[in-house]
Parts: sequence; structure tokens; C-alpha cells
Amino acid sequence: MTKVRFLSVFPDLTGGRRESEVEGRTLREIIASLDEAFPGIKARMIGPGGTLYPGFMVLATRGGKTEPCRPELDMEIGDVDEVIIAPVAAGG
Amino acid sequence: MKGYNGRLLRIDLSQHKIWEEDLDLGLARKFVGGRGLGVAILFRELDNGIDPFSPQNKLVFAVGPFEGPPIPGGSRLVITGKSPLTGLLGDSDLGGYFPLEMKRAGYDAIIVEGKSDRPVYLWVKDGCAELRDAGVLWGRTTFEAQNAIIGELGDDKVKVVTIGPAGENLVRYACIAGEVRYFAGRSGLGAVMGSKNLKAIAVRGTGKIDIADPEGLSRLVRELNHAIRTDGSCDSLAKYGTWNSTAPANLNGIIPTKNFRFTTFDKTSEIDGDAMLRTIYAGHRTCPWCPVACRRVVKSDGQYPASPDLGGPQYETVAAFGSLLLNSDPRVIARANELCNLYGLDTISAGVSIAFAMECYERGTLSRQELGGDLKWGDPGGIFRMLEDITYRRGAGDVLAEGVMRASKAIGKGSEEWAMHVKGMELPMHDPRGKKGQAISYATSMKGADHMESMHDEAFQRESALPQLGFAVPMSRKDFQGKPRLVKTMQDYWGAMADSLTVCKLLMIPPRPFSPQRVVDALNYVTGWGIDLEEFVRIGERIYNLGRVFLARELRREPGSGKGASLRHLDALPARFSEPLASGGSQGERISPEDLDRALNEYYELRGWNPGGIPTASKLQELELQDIVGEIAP
Repeated sequence: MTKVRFLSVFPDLTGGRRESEVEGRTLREIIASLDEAFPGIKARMIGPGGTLYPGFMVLATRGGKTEPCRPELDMEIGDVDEVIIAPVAAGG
Repeated sequence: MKGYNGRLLRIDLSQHKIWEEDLDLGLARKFVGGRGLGVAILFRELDNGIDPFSPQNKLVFAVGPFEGPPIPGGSRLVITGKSPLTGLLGDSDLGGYFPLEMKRAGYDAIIVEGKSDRPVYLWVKDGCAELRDAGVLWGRTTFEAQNAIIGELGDDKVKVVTIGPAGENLVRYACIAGEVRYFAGRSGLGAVMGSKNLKAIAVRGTGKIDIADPEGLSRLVRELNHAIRTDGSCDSLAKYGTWNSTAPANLNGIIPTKNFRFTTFDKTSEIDGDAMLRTIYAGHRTCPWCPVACRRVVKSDGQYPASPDLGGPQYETVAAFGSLLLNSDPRVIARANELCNLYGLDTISAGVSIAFAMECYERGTLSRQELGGDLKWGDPGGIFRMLEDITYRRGAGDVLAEGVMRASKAIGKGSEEWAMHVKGMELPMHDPRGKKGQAISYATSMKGADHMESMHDEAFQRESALPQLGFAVPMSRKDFQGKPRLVKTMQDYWGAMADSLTVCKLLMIPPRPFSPQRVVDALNYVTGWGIDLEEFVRIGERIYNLGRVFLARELRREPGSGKGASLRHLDALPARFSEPLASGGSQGERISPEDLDRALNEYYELRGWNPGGIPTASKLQELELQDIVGEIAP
């Protein structure tokens, strides 16, 4: 199971929940699992071209260090403490 | 000219005279409107070296071609004048319904000069204008003044921009409140209104603006609105407003904490977007024509009351009264925001000034007696007391009302070290150590540290962020590499041009759908100019360079300076940023003077400026500014 933390994303889909635990080795699988728990997330995160929508940051924490994941849906995430999904907030 | 009224309104407060002037259409074509028009007018009309509080200072309230047609985000007013905070050219903008109403009332700009012998407000309705007595409004809060004016005029469709007691008391970072929901916070231009005894401007307009290609614009607006509603790029902004920035800012290690000593706040989860929705959120508002509706409405009762009738805090305010002061109570943020709104204070400068005072107190530089009580980190009572003391210039509040640059000079004892400003303007809530583009932008902005001049680095960490402007390759937010070019382009395309059209900048940040091509198309549909993106950016560059020459001209009054003196020493950052961050998402990041120096060298070269940061004669000629070459000649 992978812990996924939502930071200022999808409050309407998650009912305000800030985290969830889902199955998945790749981002695509994690997003599919999230979509089962909270229908609509997949449509928000994967654009019409089948790629990760650029309005989100996906980060992974390993050993206390958080770094951005490469935006490749089929790359294995590996052993992580948690995956974080946040908006690309650039000013304001 | 399509997209314009073709008329300016000029008010000489000293003589209590009002008259109309034709808008110089050549000037509009060269500088568009809003900030561009304001800079061009003030460059021509302001004498070098005047005191911002003297009657010789002028304020230009200007809209642009995007006001009138139903363009999402196209209702913004830009106010330009000499800033009492920096002593340089300042500008600030606000959204809401005032800008649209002003354009419909028949004017592209209102120019205010002189000083009234008594408090007045300006009333403009459909091509008629008069000065009215504001004696009973003087001393009243923004909300009271606005309501009294609307009551007196007997029309609840009247829109008002007003100052509060802070502007009257010449607090150098007093803001101008639009409808008490939208704020022109930065640069202290509310204090300039106060210095002129101008309490408010009220407008009502029913006119229509002709545009060149209504069908083309209508098609583009439909496409744009559809994209905003369906492509997901504005979802987070619509749900959280700019509160969507709080958690990512903490995660990335760029949220200013404890007066910029840290960039992660361990209690961010108590003030981030989700926390605000859970605690004080009471709804949302919009500006005209915008389906996003990012403005937050908040409500709080009991010990820390905040009314939903006023504008709620945005990200900048959340951080300025949250992490920066080590406060984690959303209700305290809401209350502090409301006090700033009512008194007419810029929330960023006010928060940074209080953080400065808290550090002074912690280090023993300011005493309990001088501060009128304790001023511990995170203490709500201390925060509220300081806001009042600053507004009414009581005790240490009188010094803090001068802004941290002047306050630190007055206090001394090494406090300059923790006075966080650039060119005298307090820093916004994005620590530049974690985003090097902002470092260059803060340092070089003509008005001091401003977070709305250059798009932020986070947007350019992916492929094809803005390929139309040459930004297709990902850049790390932590690197300087590529940033001088990014900042130069964005200051011209985004900072200068959005403020001149005038349009909301948030919709232009990729991947949001107001793309460069759509912005240019919209301008062409409105005006019929038929320009391309290259010319569009060049107009922004012209505006930016004119502002820079204004700065160079001002510097001449400094002892030992003359024509051709260097501006480089002004393009600096606080020394605190040369310290590496100890923890968080930007751990280890710092900005050494050498790094900044190298970045400035590249930036100046890209801009066609000399090593002292002054535009060269050939650059000015290239930008069709040959008539001002004499201002910078050695």
C-alpha cells in the first residue's frame, strides 16, 4: 500500500480527506486506485492526450526527503514513505 | 480609437478644478493603458526629485483596452505615482467592479494632482465629475467611508475606491481599497491620496465601448471560458483561491517563516487551503466576467471577528500574518486581514513590519515599553495592537509606519540586518532562495520587491511551459541557469503588459488557458491593431525601460550622482538570503552576492543595459524612446 497525501487538491472528490492508502507500483496504477476510491480523480489528473496533467506536482518522500516525481505515468515509484499530490501554485 | 474612450479626466486639487483632455492616441498605441499609460504620463509630468507627499506628486488611475468587453479577468485598475515607501515610481492594481465602472463612466484615466485645502472625494458619473466635501468621512474606516458615500449619492451601483485612517496618517504602505474587497496594496499610494486630502473616488457609468471585432472577441471569450471551466487548469484556484499556494509553498520550502529565518512552518496544515475551507471559509466572489471566482469570503465570530462583507485574505496575507509571525490560527489571520482592510494597510508590508518588530523585541532592540507591551512571536494581541499603533502612529508604531527600511535606520543597533525589503518595499511571501527567478525579479523590479512582475519558477519546471515565448525546456526552480532570460521576458510580457491591458495575471500562468496567443488575439480584436506576439512583448519592454529611465533620472538627486550613475547598488537583496536554508524543500539553498552579481550581468546584457543597469541609448532608440535618450546620456 502507498500512502497518498492531498495538498489543496480535490476537496470536492475526497470530501476534504487529506490522505489515503492505495495499491499501485506506478503513477498510473496509483491514480487508477485513487479513482476507484474517489471517482473523478483520474479525469482530473490525466489529460486528453493520456499524459499527466501539468497543473499538478506529484512528489515522493523517501527517508524524510521529498522530491518531484518524473511526470511519467508508467515509471515505477519504488519504495516511498508517501506520494504527495499538490497544485502547481506559481504566485498569487 | 477602438477599445478606448479617448478621454482623460484631470483634477487639480489645489485649485479645485476639473477638466477633460483628449487621450493622446499615439501615447496609447505606444504604452497601451494602465501602468504603461501611468508611467508615460508621470515620466513627462513629474519633476525629478519631488517629495512623494508634496502637491507636485501625481496619481494616475488608469484602465486599459480590456476594460469594457467581457474578457475574463479584464477589469483591473492600475494606480501609478511616486511611492512614499521607495521614493521611486510605484504602481499597484486592484480588480473588482470599479475598473469597469470607471471605463463606462467615460474615462481611460483619471489624473490627480495638487493638494486640496480640505478633505474631499471625487464623484464621477457618465462624463460629469465634481469634488465633494469629505470632512465627515475623514478619520473613518474604508468600509464606513464607502457606505457613507454610497448613501449620500443614493445609488447602490456606485463603486468606490477609498483610503482608511492609515492613508490619512501617511503610513508609507497605506493601500487603496476598492469596494473594500479588492485592494491596491503595494507602493503606499493610499498615503499619497491622504497627502492630497483625497479620501475617495466614486464612479458610476453606463457607457459602452466600441471594439474593432466583436465577433472575433466573442468567439475567443467563448473558447476561453470553456477552457477555464473544463480543462482543469483553474480547478484548484476556483476551489481554494490563492490559498492553494500555502501547502505547496511549505512543501517546496519557500514560505517565509519567522521573518524569513526559515522557509517551512511546522503548523502549515492549520492554515493551508484545506484548513481555511474548514474554519473560516464563507463563500467566494468574482471579478466581472471571470468564471474562476478566486476571491475568498471569510467569516469569523467571537474573539476574532471577521465580516463576510469585506474581502477575505489571500495567500500573501495568510503567510504574512501566519507563518511569518508564527501564528497558526486562521481566525487571527482573518481578523488581522480585516483590520488592514478597514484601516487601509497593505497586508504584506504590515506583516513584514510586525515581523521586523517581533525580531527587534526578541533581540532586545525594541523594549516592552517602546512597543506598548510584549510582542512575542505568534501573539494575536500583539499583532492587533501593532496594526492599530501603526495606523494611528502611536509609540513604536510611528516608526514602523515608515516601513522597515526607514524604521531600521531610525532604530539602528544592527536592525538593518533583519529589515526585509528591496528598494524600501517589504518582501512578498515567496522566499527567493527556493526560486531563483524571483530573486532576480525582486532585485530588479523598479518598484521594489514585487511578486507579480515575473511568473514564478515553479511553472517552468516542466517541458513546454510557454513554448511561444521560448520556454520549452524544464528549468529547476533552484537554479539561476536560464532565469535572467525568463525574468526579462516575463517582466515585459506579464508584469508590464498585463498591468497595461489591464487584465488579471493569474489566468495567464501556464497551464491556464489565457495563453500568449490568446492575449494578443484579444488585444487585436478589441483595438484592431493587428500586432503579433513579438511586438506585444516589445511594448512591454518599452514600458519596462521607461520605468527604468525614470529610476535613473531620480538617482541624479543623490549626492555625488550624475547622469549615467549606476543603479546596480539598488538591485540588491537582503543579506539574510546569503545564509543557506537549514531545512525543508529548499534545504541548502542560498543567494550569494556573487551569484546575484553574475545573474545581474546576464540580465543587464539581455536587456541592453550598461553594467550599471541603465538602458543604453541604442536600446532606447530601438524601443522608439529616442526622445528620452538625453535623460541617460553621460
